[in-house]
Amino acid sequence: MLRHPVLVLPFLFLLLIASILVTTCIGVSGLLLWNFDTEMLQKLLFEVRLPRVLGAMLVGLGLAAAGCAMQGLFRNPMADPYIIGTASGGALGAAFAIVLLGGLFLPALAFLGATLSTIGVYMISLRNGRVTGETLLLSGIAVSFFLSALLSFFMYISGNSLHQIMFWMMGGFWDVYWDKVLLGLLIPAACMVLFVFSRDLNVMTLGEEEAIHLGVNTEKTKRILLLTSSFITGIAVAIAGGIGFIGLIIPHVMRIIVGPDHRVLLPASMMVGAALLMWADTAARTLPVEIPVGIITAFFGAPFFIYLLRGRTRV
Amino acid sequence: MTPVISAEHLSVSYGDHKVLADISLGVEEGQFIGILGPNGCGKTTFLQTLSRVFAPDAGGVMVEGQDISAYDTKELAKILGCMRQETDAAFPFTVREIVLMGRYPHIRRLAPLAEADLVIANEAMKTTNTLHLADRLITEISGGEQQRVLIARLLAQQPKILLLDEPTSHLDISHQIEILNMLRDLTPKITVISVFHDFNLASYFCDRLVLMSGGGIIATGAPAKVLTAERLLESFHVRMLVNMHPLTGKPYLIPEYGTTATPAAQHVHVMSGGGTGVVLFHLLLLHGCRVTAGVLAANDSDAAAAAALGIEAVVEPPFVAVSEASVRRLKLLLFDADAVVVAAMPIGFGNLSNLSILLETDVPVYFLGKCEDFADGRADVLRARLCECGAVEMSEITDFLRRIV
Repeated sequence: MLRHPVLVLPFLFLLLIASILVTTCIGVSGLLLWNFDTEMLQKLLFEVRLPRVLGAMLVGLGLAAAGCAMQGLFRNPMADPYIIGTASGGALGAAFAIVLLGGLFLPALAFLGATLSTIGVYMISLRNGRVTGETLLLSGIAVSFFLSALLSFFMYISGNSLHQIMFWMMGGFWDVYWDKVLLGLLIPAACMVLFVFSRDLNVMTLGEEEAIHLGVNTEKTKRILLLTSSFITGIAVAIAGGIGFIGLIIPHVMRIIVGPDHRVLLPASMMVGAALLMWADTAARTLPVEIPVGIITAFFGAPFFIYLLRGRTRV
Repeated sequence: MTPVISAEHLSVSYGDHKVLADISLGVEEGQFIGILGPNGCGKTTFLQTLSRVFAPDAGGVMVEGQDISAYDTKELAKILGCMRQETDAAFPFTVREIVLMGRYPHIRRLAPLAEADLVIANEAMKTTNTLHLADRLITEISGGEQQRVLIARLLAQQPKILLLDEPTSHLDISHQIEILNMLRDLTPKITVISVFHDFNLASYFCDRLVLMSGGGIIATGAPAKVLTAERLLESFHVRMLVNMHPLTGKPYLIPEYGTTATPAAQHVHVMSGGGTGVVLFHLLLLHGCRVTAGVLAANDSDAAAAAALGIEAVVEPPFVAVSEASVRRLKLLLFDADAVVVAAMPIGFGNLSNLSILLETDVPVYFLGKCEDFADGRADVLRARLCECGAVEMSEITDFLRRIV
């Protein structure tokens, strides 16, 4: 295990900057170095590619951060940002917008669906002012099933919009422009909140009782972390739909590399998640046929994950 | 003196099940308090309520004169430290990282660790003999090592009151004594309240014991006052022998292992001395035999054991040869016995007549092991004659039991 965060974090930061520069230069119309039409170049670069790259970066770092917080909070490396109903809630909001409003207010409704379902799950799990991780997970599963039933109903009656809903659910950045990037700037702001609580998160992974003994206000911490994570996930869903895998695998992989201390794990996961999603999106848009980026992340991520799991003697 | 921590009429229920019923306890600063009680009597719940993991249904906890519910979580953690039996750390932190988490209540949000924090953590690891584990992963060390790491974290937390739930349950005997010595040395600067399962450790280390049973406290006070055979029978339903530790003078407890004599068909008479008979008494009673013993000297430990176990024995005052009266009583017992077993006891002129009487009866005789002869060879002669008459020599107690029972 690498335990030299002092070196790891600057290295990852350089990797992130390099990824932004390189992926912006790659596209279906070829590398920009060969293009002489400067006006065309500027338009393409600053109005199409750069916002898309930055959008992927913001969503990537957001999902990785939310995944990190959820895994720490639930003390479970299999948790992801969507685990407490966020994905199905967001999808239902989006489907609602597509079927009934012709796609109007889609990001807003997706955000609303994602955050409302999370808050619903939290309220359902609340007993005497307390929630336990187990109840949250089970309530999340129950609510997800319920919302999925509604979603299936919408898809069933959607007729021509079915393809649109499916495309949205797999996630992608094909319609990300500067307005969505501005919206996405809320993500790093919310990630700062998670980072402020990283030491509390460390202690929380010891178990709730031990955290109480060490002086953590566990209920308050849980509430803040859940709310912030679902806010981040809601924004990510509003920008790019339901991109899977980043929030599950990145924290897990980075925990193997830099260790479980969230003060290092959180920023490291954010940078790697951002870089990975930028590259995945670059692949998605440069392939002969543009495909949803969620397919790319899962297709390459899952085998890599299996390789890591097999390679470790202890999990 | 006002107590540093006190429980006042605490009641706690899980659903319909009442776990603690109206418990009150005041602990003065600097004491080492041991809590004892059978499984499920509410010891752990009591500690959890004292450390605010549970809010009581009724009553309250006062810490340094203030209601515990009024404390800020970090402020409370600076006063009250708590250690559970085990940690189930979800992720592979190193031991040093785990110990440094003890500094959590002392460090401001986002502030980096100060040099002093590292020194305190190192000191805590040294004290608990875990410094060599500092870079190992908490998930990859043994249960006993984990327990010492948890104690190190507790020391790094530097609380004024320690609440411990069986802090040494996974430790070997040398670490048990070392850790408990260390905890006792922390008093009287720090107050220690700990759950124990081992009566003898609690008796030796604690100033005061609290005996719990069925969700209530049935006795508190000095170990000698609390650890009585009657109270332990009442709370644990086990008969205990309460002795004094020969070197410390503290109560020292041994279980009786449930040997109450039952009327039985077999009657075995045991001839023993110098402690060689106790094992036979115990095993024969366990196998349902009627056991008699003698002739024994009154100061012999076998005589004390026979008396404690309710065994009928012929006893002679110490340092006196076996008297006529004793011989008569012994003959009566032998007349009734189904077998006689002679333990590997030392035989001298005083108890030689035990053997010679056997020549006058026709009870089957068993010799268990060699007897040491202090009667100028006469014991060996008698033994040889008995063997000629059909006495059986054996070396293993199990062989004997197989023949008898």
